[in-house]
This record gives sequence, C-alpha cells and structure tokens, in this order.
Amino acid sequence: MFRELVFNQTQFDLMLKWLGDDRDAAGTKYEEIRENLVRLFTWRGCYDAEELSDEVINRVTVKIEDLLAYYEGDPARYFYGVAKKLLLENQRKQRLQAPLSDVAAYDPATPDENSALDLIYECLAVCMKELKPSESNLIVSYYAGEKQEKIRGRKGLASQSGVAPNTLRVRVYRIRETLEKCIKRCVNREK
Amino acid sequence: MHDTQKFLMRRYLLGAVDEGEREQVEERFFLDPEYHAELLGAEEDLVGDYLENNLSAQDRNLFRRHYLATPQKLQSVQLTAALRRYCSTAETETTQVKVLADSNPQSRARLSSVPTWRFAYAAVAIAALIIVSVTLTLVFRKQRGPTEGDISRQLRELNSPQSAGKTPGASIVLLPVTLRGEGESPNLSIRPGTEVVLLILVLPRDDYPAYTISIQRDNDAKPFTIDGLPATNTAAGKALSLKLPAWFMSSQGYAFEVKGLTADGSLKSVAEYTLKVHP
Repeated sequence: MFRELVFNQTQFDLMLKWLGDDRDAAGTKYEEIRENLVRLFTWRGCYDAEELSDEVINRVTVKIEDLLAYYEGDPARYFYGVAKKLLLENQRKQRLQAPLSDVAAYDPATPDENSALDLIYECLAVCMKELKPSESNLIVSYYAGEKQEKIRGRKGLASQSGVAPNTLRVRVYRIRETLEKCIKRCVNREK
Repeated sequence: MHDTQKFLMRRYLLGAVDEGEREQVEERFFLDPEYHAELLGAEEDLVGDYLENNLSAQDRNLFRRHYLATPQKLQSVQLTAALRRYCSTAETETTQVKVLADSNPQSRARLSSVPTWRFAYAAVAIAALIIVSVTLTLVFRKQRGPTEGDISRQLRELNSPQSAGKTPGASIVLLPVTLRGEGESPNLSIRPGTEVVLLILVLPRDDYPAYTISIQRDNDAKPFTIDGLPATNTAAGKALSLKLPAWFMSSQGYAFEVKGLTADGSLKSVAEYTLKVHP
C-alpha cells in the first residue's frame, strides 16, 4: 500500500500545466498517460495496475517544481521512466504475480467456462439496453463478424464516422468501460 | 506497419521478448501515437485469435500463462467473448428481420394492405401532441425557472451509477479544508459550452461504504444533498467524484460537506471543501 496523499493542489495544477497550456487538453493528456500506465502494468502482469499507476503519478507530481525547472522532453517519457523504476521495486518485493494456477484462466474451448460466460452474457444483454442507441449500435458494428470481415468492417466504420481507427477504438474502449462496470454490478447481484 | 514490428508486438503481449525488446515496445507505445494505435490493434487481434482458436499450441500456452495472468485481463477477455457472441447474434437477427421484410411477399402484402393515410393521420396527430406538450413545458419552465425539486432531481440523476453521463467539460481536484489549510478557496472558471463539471473531492480517509455530499451555494438558503456516493481510487488517493451541471455552477462561492454513512444508518462528518466559481 502506498501513501494515500502526497501532493497538494498547487502541485497537481502545475503538473497539468506541464502537460499542456490548455487545461482541457492537459486533462485529456493526463487521462491518456494514466490509461497507458494501467495498460503497461497489466501487460507486465501486475494485479494492482491501477494503484501502481496512481503511485507513478504521485511520484511525478511531487517532483513537479524540479521537473519544470530542469526536465526537457516529452512528459510521457518521464512517466514511463518512473513506471519502469516502480516495476523494478515491485519485482524485488515480489509484487508481480503470474502463476497460471492461481488464476482460473479463461479457455473458450473448455465447456466449464461456458457457465461463467453465460452469466456475463446475460448481464451484457441487460447492460447493452442501458447504453444510448448510438453506443450500442457502435459496439454491435465493432464486434460483429469474423476476423477478416471484422477488420474490413472496422475500417469502414471508422471511415463512415469520419474518424481515425484509433479514435474509433478509444470510443469503443470508453463504452466497454461503462459496460464492464454495469456487468460487474449485475454479476454481483446474480451471484 | 512492418511485419517484423507486428511480430514483435505479439511476442511482447505474450511475454516472449527480452528486456531490450520490451523497453523498445513500451517506449514507443508511450511516445509514438501511430505505434500506440498499432499495439492496441495487435492486442485486439491476439485476443480475437485466442477466442477463435487460431493460436498455435505454444502461443496459446503463453497467452494463458502470461496474458491472462491478471484478473483484469481475464475479465476483459471474457467480456470480449461475450460481446462477440452478443453482437454476432444481434447482427444476425437484424439481418434476418431485414431479409424477411425485404423478401417475404406475404409480409410485404400485409404491410401494403394497410391504408397509408391511416399511418399519416396517426403520425401527424402524435407529432402535434408532442409539439404542443413540449412548447407548454418550455413556456412554463421559462416562467418559473427550475424549482429546488427539479435541481435536486437533476443532481441525483447526474450522479447515479446508472447515469450514462456526459463527458465533463471541466474538472477540478479539491482537497479538504483541513488538509489544504486556511486561505483562498480554489478557483474554477467554466468555459461557455461546458455541460458538466466534475469535482474530485479527495477524502482524508475512506472509512465508509457510501457518502453524502451537501452542496451549499452562497446565494441559496439551504443546501442540496446527494447521497449514496461510493469512494473511488484516483491519482490523489480515495476520492468522491461529483458531477454538477454547468448551469448550476454560477459565479459564487460553494461549500461542500461530506458525511459518511455508518453501519447504524447515521451520518458522520468526514470533510469540508470550498470552491469559488468565476466567470
């Protein structure tokens, strides 16, 4: 467990300013960096990816005055550097976990997994109805079809919407987040 | 993107790279937007190949041992599997209905046998009703302005877990007065066009399952209250996320009191926050 609060309001505001002069754009950049950190820690097999990401942000923010004075370069590179250091610390503390035996890895070929998936599927059907029609239509179009058909479909979808494929992916990612929260609540209710 | 890069990305996601390759992938992921998008695409393809049983036995084993090693990834892959199943069914049903409607002569005949004027008449009547009721509501609202009940309801709806929610156009992190120290309140300016403002109220500690926030504006006689808010993890520690409509955040001073819901149902004061909104 890390210290819960290590920086003050001024430092946080300075950190946002470091990310960009426009506060809204800086806020978006901040969210992007945090999402990237969570992905990085998850890819590296960390159970507590969210907590580790927040710790990176804490460590960077408390040093913000020094960074503004001396650091040159893309802030994202500095965040990544701190994340690498934290990963090393955690390896030492054996916080990294990746034993298959501890996790009921999902295997679509195993019939036993189908019952767990059935509950998620039932909850998904409920949660899809809570989305706005434009959101559920986007999700259906994005995930429908088999591999090649899907790839072609996504390219077409991005071009139809007038956005880059990555922008489309981010939109889908946000909707997935909403669905994940809703499904968690639903699964907990049903259990 | 070069095939060798795609191959490297897949090896990275499967945890089958050396330290140098890992750093190369991660650094580019953070710094190069095009590479970032490609890596996320590679991840989607990898999960797709796993779900469609298109991975070699060795990669399948690596996927299970490395990629699915955390509960988050496991849940994410399960959701993708459910989404694919759901979406394929939804797409098939839509296609079937469309094909039936397009090709079935009987259904076409049934539809065409209903006099068109009846549809038109009903549509005009419904449209007229909607226009009249919307106009009356708007006129009435304009005359009296939102009541306290209207405001409370909107605040509750915006902060309910079921709220799909608009993306906040402005946000600010607020520290408790006790931690921030005496002195000026934090200032917030809201740009025209902003619909929702997000306030992140950092908690000094998280001892309760749910919290109530009372919002006292300088110009109001009594506060508005929102209850049942859970604490969430943020970069600044445990915090409450409070969404407020921009129209509610007029230029004045604001005081927020957070209370925790105890096991016996009573409320216990946790922290106070202040904020000034400027034009």
